[in-house]
Amino acid sequence: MKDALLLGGYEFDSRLMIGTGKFSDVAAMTAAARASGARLVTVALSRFHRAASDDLYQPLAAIPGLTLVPNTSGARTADEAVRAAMLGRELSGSPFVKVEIHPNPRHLLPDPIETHEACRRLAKEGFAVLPYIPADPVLAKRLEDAGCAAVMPLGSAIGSGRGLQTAEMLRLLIQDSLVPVIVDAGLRAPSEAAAAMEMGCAGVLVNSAIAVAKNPAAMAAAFAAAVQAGRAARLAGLMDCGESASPTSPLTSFLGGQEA
Amino acid sequence: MSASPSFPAASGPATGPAVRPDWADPGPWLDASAIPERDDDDVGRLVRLLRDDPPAALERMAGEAERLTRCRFGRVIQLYAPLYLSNYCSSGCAYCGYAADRRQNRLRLEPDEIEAELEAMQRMGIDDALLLTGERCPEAGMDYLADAVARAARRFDHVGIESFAMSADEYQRLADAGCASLTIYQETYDPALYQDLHRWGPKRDYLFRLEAPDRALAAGMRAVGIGALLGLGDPIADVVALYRHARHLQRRHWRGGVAVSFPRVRPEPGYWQPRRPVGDALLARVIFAFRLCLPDTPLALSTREQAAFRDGMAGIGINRMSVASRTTVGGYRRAVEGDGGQFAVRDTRDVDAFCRMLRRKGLEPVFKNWAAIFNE
Amino acid sequence: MAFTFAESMKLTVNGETLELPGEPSLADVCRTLGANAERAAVLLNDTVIPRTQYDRIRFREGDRIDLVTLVAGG
Ligand code: SF4
Repeated sequence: MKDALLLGGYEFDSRLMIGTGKFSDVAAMTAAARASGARLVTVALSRFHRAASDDLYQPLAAIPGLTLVPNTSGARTADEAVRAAMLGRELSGSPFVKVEIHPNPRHLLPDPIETHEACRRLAKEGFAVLPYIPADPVLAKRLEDAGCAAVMPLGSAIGSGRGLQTAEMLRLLIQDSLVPVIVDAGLRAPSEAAAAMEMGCAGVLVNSAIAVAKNPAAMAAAFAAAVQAGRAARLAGLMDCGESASPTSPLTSFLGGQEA
Repeated sequence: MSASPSFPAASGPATGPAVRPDWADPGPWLDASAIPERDDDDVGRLVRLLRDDPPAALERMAGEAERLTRCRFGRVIQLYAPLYLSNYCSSGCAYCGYAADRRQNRLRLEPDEIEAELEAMQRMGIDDALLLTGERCPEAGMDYLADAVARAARRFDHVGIESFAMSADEYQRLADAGCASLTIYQETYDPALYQDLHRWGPKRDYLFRLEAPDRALAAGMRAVGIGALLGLGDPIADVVALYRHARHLQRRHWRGGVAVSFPRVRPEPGYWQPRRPVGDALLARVIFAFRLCLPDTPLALSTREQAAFRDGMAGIGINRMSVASRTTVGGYRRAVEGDGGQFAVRDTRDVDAFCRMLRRKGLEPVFKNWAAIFNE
Repeated sequence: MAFTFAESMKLTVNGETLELPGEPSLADVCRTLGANAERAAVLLNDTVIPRTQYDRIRFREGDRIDLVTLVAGG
């Protein structure tokens, strides 16, 4: 497979992941999932309710080539996240788990300490662990050491649509990462997804920006195109920025004007 | 340019050159027609900076290198001094004055002499010492080196070694004795040339040397210094490999520091002549390009270089320099007759004179790397 | 300890207290809730029960059972 996304020993031919939350209905969600070309789709867990038959397994299983990535949303501790991951594996039959532990209900920012502990345990259990994390280059390395299959730093707070606020930390994080870096959360416009890919992200995960667009399927297609364009630009090699500095007195006169 | 070899043919085991790992291979970037499939470390940018032709570009690069160096390291130049413990050597590096087949007055510092040399360095204000030996030999092996490290660590806040390639356990032992950093140059990253030049001895093992910094960082040393001895092989190929090596280490060992040095091999009257001499302008370009591509990485320049070149480079790319080096064993207290040194020191100024120069340039010499309160 | 046949069993399922006759199986519990046992994951007193052991589950008085399914989420 050409330029496949390698994740936990599996190959995927799309670098756009999508989330299934916040859609108006299941039909809009499945239409967006198809239009996105995404191979990895996140789902959440919930206790079964008598009232609503909201099991997403059947509608998503009907789309060929999808791998489900259950998340641990709702967990507030490592113990709860590990339990959620085990349940998710029973339900999805997928080795992937997106670890998200965000105890603060207002900004939903991840708890790095509980996240690290959950990831350490789940990696030992053989999961392909994808942790949702603050854009912290040191935490990313600690999670890599713990055996995560990728890291998923946030661009900005979940659902905020504020784009790549963490760009500078993402740059440091990507620079030294040995595992794929997938930007998760905060993206609003396809151009931001393209920018993330140009920076060297291995993929992006988009949910709200697609789910609450006027036309979710069309927006999913737009994000797919942006991710491809950004990736292609990354591989093509962006031009160097011009060096703008113009020293007042020559710095290289000690070389006596000779050139190599 | 190629000269006929001025050294005896290799006489080590008749194995072929080592197969180098991808992360030390400049190959895909040297062939202008082959675009590497991916370039996560932006090696392409380094190559463009190195090959960018107009001489005017050098001045622009210097300006940007100075700006980046000032942003990241301030106006500070970190100073260190080497201490040659022993010039006994079992190796046959074709380019080295200490090679086993060279006529050389062989010396080794005894414990009381080590203490006296360290004291002399302390009096000069040095607080960052680099201890050097040749290849492993009975006169200067692990026990000797570990003892010297422990002695130096009692006096200095930062002690490093530049010695033979060791096993992980041996690096661990030195780290435990107080060694904070390892300096080890691959000399050349070209496996075939490497095998030519390293005529016998353990140093012939290309991969064992190449992976030494990995072992040292894994064993708990805080930092490594790497370099290529410029003048041996194709300079562009070697520095591109050096850059890839640095990036490999920075990715793999995120807690470890990685510094890069730019030693140049110098012609030795009657002996070795560099096959691919690297002029001042090319060396400057290499250093600027590294600063532009590795803005956070310490870059070092030794007293092998002439005073004028060092003065020019201080603070524009370079942020770490050796000072008042004696490359002869016992050199801090006396000149030793018959010892030609491992290489010629070009910048012979003493600490005071060197610091005066730095201050005139608006730079601040700093002798302390960090306080050793963290070293158990 | 005397061994007696219970008339019924009290279980807490997804937070609701249910009283089921005899010794209910997992399928019985699911049916009561209208859930599809094929598409549910089971947490028994906070322990995840692997799918392969569903047939062998024996509930005891007072057990807490959570039946979990996949829903929309990011
Ligand atoms: S370079 Fe080092 S190992 Fe080689 S001959 Fe010189 S002292 Fe010995």
